Amino acid sequence: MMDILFTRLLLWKKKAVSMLFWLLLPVVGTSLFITTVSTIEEDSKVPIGIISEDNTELASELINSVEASELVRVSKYSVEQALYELEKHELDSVFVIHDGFEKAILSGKRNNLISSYRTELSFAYSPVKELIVSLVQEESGRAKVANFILNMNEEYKGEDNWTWEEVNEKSKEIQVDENLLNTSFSYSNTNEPVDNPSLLSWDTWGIWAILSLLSALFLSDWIIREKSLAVTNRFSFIKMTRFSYYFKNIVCYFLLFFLFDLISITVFTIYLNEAFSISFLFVIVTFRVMLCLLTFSLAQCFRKTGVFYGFSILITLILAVISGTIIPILPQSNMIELLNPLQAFLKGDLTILWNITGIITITMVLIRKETSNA
Amino acid sequence: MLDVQALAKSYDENHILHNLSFTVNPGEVIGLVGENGAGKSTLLRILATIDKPDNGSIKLFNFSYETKRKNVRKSIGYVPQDIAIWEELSVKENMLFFEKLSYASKSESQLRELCLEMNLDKWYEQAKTLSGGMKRKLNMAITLIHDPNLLLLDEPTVGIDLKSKKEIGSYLWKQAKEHNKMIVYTSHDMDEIKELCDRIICIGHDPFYEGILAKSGKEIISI
Repeated sequence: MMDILFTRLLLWKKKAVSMLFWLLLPVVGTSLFITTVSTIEEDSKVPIGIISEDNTELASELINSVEASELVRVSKYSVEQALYELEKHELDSVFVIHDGFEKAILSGKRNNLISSYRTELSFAYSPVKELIVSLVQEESGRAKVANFILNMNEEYKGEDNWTWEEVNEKSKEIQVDENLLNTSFSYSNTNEPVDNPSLLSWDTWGIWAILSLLSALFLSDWIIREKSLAVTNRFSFIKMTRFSYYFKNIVCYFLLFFLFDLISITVFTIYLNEAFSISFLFVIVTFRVMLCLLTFSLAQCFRKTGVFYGFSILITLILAVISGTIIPILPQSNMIELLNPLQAFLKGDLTILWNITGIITITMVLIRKETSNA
Repeated sequence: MLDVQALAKSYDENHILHNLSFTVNPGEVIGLVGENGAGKSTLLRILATIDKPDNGSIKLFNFSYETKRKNVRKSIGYVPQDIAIWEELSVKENMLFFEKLSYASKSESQLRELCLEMNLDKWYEQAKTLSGGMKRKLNMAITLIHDPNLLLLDEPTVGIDLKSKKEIGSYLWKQAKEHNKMIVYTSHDMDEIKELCDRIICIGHDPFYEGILAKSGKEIISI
């Protein structure tokens, strides 16, 4: 094994740059993609300005609620500064919470609490206004209910002496418990609800799997290159069988790929906050073994590298589409799932069926090579 | 000793080799001549165990090619007509690469010594920058790493300058006479063949080659 590793290292050294490019493609490509999408998502939020003249808890809560929305990016300025930014169209619209906002809400008043400013280019003004109005109405409604309950208690001489704050808190508790205003979503085949789902949810490991497939295919071109070289004449006179030579080479490639898989795990865990577990390591190992076996077997079927590269890109695109990694497609038929070698990994399962297929295929390919050399 | 008996090989209807028998003794240099397509390379490939004959038997030191192929291969050094080296590796790396896959284990200094014996002194130079003659020498040096008893060379001196040709020729002669190797090689250079070979096998009953070689005083086997 060490002899094969030595010989392979000699060849790898000579094309270190292209090797590194393909080996780093899955981790770098995925990280760049996810980071870029997140940045674009942040930049695509509607910029608005909110000025609070009322330094009360209710006014702060309103601003926090608006900030929590994934549709807007809130900037806090003075009124003059905000209006200047609005004139420059740096802000889509500006909202000023007037002094006495909390007092008015608590007393059940709902008019002239907030002033808004917009320009002829404030395309998102209406939905943002509706968002803020709905939040004000939520608080206003809660205050109205609290006042109503307290009045009823007083009118019918109830024995409980609730305070306005207690009723208000109870109202918030019921809202959270009953989940009246939110609907939880979950991914297909899972019961786990997705907390705070983003507008576009990209699967980091899904993109990584697609890029890993592409890089594994392109790095398998050595099989085609070596087949066409005169040096293969010498392989009849080496101390090991062809079966052993190729098998050990596949092991070398597996070890190299796995080293970079560990780098991917580290980068995704640290920088993209992806969850990691030991069981997932086995999922990656079986996935990588499958990639090595299948890409080797596939490369054996080609004589020209150009045709192989074209095929590699095509098969990667097809699998990316049917996997739903690039374009989420629902629902998938069992047949498509069965034919997709990436499916098990994308579902977080061990790749078993395709590994069995890979082992059978590669054994047949290597035995055929051995027989032709005997 | 290499013992070839009643060897036959044909491709489709074309009989390339027919009832060919000869022996090669240790220390002998055998030249194979004949026009293009006569079957020289086919015979070498069969002797190198890369192709199989349709009929006949071959034995190398009493090891049958049929039953003891692995033992036979340990004793064979085959220099293909195409230069079989890694162009992107240096001379040193090429030698180390094939040493790791070879039956014999040799140190780096032994490998370098082997190259120097052939006047191949560009140890650190990339193979693709070597001259044609140097590449041919490297091609041969790689074949000699495991110290084979039977050397089969398919036009080892084609397309190279006279000096390199002479160096390779004298090296082969030395290998045969001083190290008791059996050498079978093909060439279109009749002067080289006449100078180096103990016996000459003329494939294809070609009167042209037979005529040229008749005056050499060497034993000619015409088949």
